Amino acid sequence: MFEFLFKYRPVLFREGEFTFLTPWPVGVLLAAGLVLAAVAVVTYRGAGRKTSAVDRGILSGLRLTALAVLLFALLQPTLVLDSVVEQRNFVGVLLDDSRSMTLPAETDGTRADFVRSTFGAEGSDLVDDLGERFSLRYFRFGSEVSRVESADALGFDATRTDVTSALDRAREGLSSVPLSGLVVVSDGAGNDGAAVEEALVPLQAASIPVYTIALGAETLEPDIQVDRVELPRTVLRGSDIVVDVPVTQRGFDRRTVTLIVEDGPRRLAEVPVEFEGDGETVLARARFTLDETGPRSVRFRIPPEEGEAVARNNARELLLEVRDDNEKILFFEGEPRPEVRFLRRAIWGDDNLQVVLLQRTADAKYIRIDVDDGEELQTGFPRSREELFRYRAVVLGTVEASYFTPDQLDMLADFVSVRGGGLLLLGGRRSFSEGGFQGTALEDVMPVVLGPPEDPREAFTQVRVQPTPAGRAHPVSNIGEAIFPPEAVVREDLDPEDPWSTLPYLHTRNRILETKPGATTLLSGETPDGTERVVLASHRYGRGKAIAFAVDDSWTWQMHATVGVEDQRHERFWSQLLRWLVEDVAQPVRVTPERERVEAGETVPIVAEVLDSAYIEVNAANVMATVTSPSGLVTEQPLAWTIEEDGVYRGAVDLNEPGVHTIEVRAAQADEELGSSAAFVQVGASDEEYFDASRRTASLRRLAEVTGGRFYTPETVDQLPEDLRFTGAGVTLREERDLWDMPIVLILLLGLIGAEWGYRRLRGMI
Amino acid sequence: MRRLPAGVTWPIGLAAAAAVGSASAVLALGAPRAQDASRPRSTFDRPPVTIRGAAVEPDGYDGTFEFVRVRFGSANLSFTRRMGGEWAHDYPRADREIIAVLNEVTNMRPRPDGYRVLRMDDPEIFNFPVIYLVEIGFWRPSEVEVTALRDYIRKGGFLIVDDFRGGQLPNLMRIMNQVAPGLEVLEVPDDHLVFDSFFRIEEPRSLPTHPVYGQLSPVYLGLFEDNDPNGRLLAIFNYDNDLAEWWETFSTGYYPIDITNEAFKFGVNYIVYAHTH
Repeated sequence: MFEFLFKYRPVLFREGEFTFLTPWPVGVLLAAGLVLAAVAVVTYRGAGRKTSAVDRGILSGLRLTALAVLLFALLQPTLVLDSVVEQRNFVGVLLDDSRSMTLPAETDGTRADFVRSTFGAEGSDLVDDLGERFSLRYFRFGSEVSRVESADALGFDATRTDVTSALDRAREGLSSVPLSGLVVVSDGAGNDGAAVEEALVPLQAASIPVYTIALGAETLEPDIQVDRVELPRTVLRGSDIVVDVPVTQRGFDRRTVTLIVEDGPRRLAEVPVEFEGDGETVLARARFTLDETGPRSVRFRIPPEEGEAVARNNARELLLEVRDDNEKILFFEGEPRPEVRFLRRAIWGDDNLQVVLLQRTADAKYIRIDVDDGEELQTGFPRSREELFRYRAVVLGTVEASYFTPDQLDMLADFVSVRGGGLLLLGGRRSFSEGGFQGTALEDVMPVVLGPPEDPREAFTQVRVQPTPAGRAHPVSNIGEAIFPPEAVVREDLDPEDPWSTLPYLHTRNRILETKPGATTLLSGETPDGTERVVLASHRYGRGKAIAFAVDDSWTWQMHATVGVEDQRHERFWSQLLRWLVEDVAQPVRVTPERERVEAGETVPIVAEVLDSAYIEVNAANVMATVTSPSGLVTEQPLAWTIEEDGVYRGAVDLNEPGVHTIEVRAAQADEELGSSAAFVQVGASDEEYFDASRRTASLRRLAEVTGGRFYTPETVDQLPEDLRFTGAGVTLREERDLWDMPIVLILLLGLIGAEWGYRRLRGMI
Repeated sequence: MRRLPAGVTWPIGLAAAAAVGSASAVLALGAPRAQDASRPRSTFDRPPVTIRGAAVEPDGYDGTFEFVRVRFGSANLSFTRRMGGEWAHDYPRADREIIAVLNEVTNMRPRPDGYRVLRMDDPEIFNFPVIYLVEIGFWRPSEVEVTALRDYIRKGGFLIVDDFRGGQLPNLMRIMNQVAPGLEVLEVPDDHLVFDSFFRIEEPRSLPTHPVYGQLSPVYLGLFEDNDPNGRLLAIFNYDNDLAEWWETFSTGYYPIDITNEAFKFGVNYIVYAHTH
């Protein structure tokens, strides 16, 4: 309709410049117009008694408007456009070669079918139109980008859609020729939005418009998808892992399916998942334990239901490392109390946790238990960073702040923020506010807000401890089932299946009511007066984590008369808490591959951070990456200091064999070994492309609009050749297009004159 | 809350002074401690789990260490010096004195009145991780008491048995055989950590028995985890020995102070060990 009325499509008005080309002086035309207008008005003034003032006003207005339209046409309105010179410009056509293109298109066939039929060697109307005006250059893009002759060269088997690199490569590859624009043909699936934003800047700077042709349906239905799952990078052998697996579905509402968790052939867990409304995400909570050490590939899958649009987005696979290390934890306790005995008892026999106890029994009098040698902790709490930083975590019992020197408090804060260790702060009469920690460096580290100190004896109160919703999704709340003594009677309104509801009440002397911003409360406690206390809370602090456990006597969960002898809730709680405390604690040397899953033959950039024993960055180290392939082939690759960042070394490794590769990085300075760490990369085809594989209209539209291009679907793409003519990019000619003969001008003119005549007739003037 | 007068000079090792009670403390023998009126009772009226209808939250409990003596019904009341039976030997002075010493030499900071008496079959006893029992030769535990003591030790509680000699040993053996069938009563080595947990006691056997006890050579027996005499101690038995006698008579001035000090060292070590190992 727009094109019918205005002669041209809107894009021409957007791209063009509007002007009047009349050879007559504008002043003369305006004067003539005014004269005619005056005549018209005067004419109607003398229309006699038959007309009222309203009639004369309306009729004058209609006639004046008609005169204005006529004057507009006489001024020769013109649209000035920069149109490309035919066959002098290039257009880059970027074809998505990824696996998601094999999924259904919006109407018939697959997305790949559209690409083949439109951009294949046989050609199509669209390509013919484009080819008449432009020289076309084709690129295929997936994980990598390369030039192709046509879409016939595409296999649609890439496991990633790297549109950012594709845009960069095409821009650079066509930088020496006049470029009218880039055409991206894709479904948008598998793209990294943030990275695409980065690619837009050079395109905008070079004034290269991007035209996007979006393929696929907006929604895939019916379909079940296992969404992104988060797992820790490393866990200790035997640690409980609790994962909330988000599952989205369309077309299967109210149905119950089973989520299966597997480690290779070993089934770890099965979780029933009950779907709610269409499009809603439900969380399936899976709990499992990994006992085999080394890199483990954990798979979360839902067997495909009949008729699913995409079956390959029903499974996620993640790598994590199961370690069998001895994690050394320093437990400093300020007074003999049962919490110490029962904590140690809870992890008795756990070969992965070495709790070194420094027990102050009187002023300047200590017991050391489980130390490695006679010198360890000989003078009490560590006085140097090297001495403290050798531990992976610190548990601070009830020790007053004044015990520590300011340096020791700073060191403890650095232990968390710089060394990346775990710090667990226990409740007690010398803890938190009651221990005088307000205003110290350690207060900043704490995840909780300290209130004014209280008399610890007066503040002593019961708390009924329960996990918060966040706590229930955390391994620390996975304490196993309750076992009661034979004479126990459980309150009838409690759920005996909920192990937390039947735990004995604990006690606290520390009134902690709120956490700091960003901290998470995992356990809360209700006091007899109805106040809600923070019992267990944590947050990230710098590289490490700090946890507050603000109760006095968790040992009651072990010893209480209402707890059965075989009950393991206390043991499991402490085991989970301490394992979490040392989870993902940084090493002096840390290696991070840029990607953890690649295709065979890909090069993986790796970054290593190298610190000394005091966790200060080392710039002049010899850093070597040793890559061990699944078949045992070992290659070495030195890493070089980046110069821009202290202690950061970079390099890249080529991975060719399918399977899990181990990348071990060792660092040394002179003759001193600084440390080593390992990371794992899985080589093999990924199903990532099948997730969220519906058409990404928003991101493709944004890509077009930000660069000055246009967004198309297969239904509207026939406008592309015409639109490309007026991008203004490349070799162009200035073109003038008349607008005086637009149908709208004639329609308006005739309409106004006709309206005047009709009104006069209506009023009996003719 | 009962408070004891302070000010008596304490001559032991590190200690300078200790609060020592006189006979002013009044406690009904054999009865649980009266409720501390200054502390409101819990408003948690309905605990999640009860044992024999009891909420098992001890009256006056404030989380500090309390010296808990096990009361039992004696089979031979004629021997008793007090109304309550053999369990009460040296009570309450010995209990008060060891609490005062703990308060003075360690930083455990128990209340001066931090001692109480409980029966082994009282579920409240599980709120206290260390219990003390004397004259075990006179104890004929019921089935419930045996089960309770077995559970107490298996859960991690620590038992100190004192003041028994000669013919009482077979009864201890019989009871322990019932309580911990898989464990043997073994001699505690002189170099065990229990003798080095606070004070270093070089020669545990050199402590003479109290004059009222007779000329005996003390023997330290115990139950060990996995029957390993160098391993974790679950219970300790002062055979042919009566530490509490020394503790009780400390403030009388009748007996040598250095020997009394040695006796206190054992008590402190046992309790510190029980909290840390």
